[in-house]
Amino acid sequence: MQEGLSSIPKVYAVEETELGYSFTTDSGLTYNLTLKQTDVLDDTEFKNYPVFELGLFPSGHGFEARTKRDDRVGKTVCEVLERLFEHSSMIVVFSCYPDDGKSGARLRRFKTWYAKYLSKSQVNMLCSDVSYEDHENVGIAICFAKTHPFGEENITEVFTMFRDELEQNKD
Amino acid sequence: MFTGNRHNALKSKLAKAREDKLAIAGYFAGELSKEDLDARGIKFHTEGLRGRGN
Repeated sequence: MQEGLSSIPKVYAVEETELGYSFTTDSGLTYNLTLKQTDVLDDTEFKNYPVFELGLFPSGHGFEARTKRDDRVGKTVCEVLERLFEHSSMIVVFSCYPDDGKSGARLRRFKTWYAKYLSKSQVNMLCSDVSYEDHENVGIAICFAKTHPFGEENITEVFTMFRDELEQNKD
Repeated sequence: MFTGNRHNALKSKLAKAREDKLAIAGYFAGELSKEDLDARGIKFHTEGLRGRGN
């Protein structure tokens, strides 16, 4: 880690939990990071690789009252992802449903984290808004190692096909 | 192209994934236990970070 650069926030200490990983911020909020096995991509060529859905669940007192942005949160989430992708052919899906009207903001925040802390690493990301059935503008991103054996071009093609097919069959 | 059946299966999987996400949120809110998540067939990647990389 480049600790000498003041513009790069330090990561929080990450603990392993029974569901994945967690860290607690200086203000006392705990962020729980989970990677749940998912079969949503089993009908694509991704079925040959481990696919997990990323979840980020804040908990603890004061979450609703938080007002100050904490750059260390994004840096810590990205650090965990970067470590997990080392020597792994996993594909990680991050989906944001617009139930509370904050889907766009969540995906933008994730994209910002990626751009700031992961884009120069060995992790690649593709993202898109998808509308299907009665769901409008569901934000979906997938992350994978740039050295993934299936290849970035193939992964991009499958992800695009997945998104297009879902939208074309919109009810 | 996905067939109609394949498309319906995909929508079911997406709906299940969404339900799972809500269930996990319920776990962190103290409303569900790990056993509840296990009973729903929810499985996690829990490989440790130690020993990876530097």
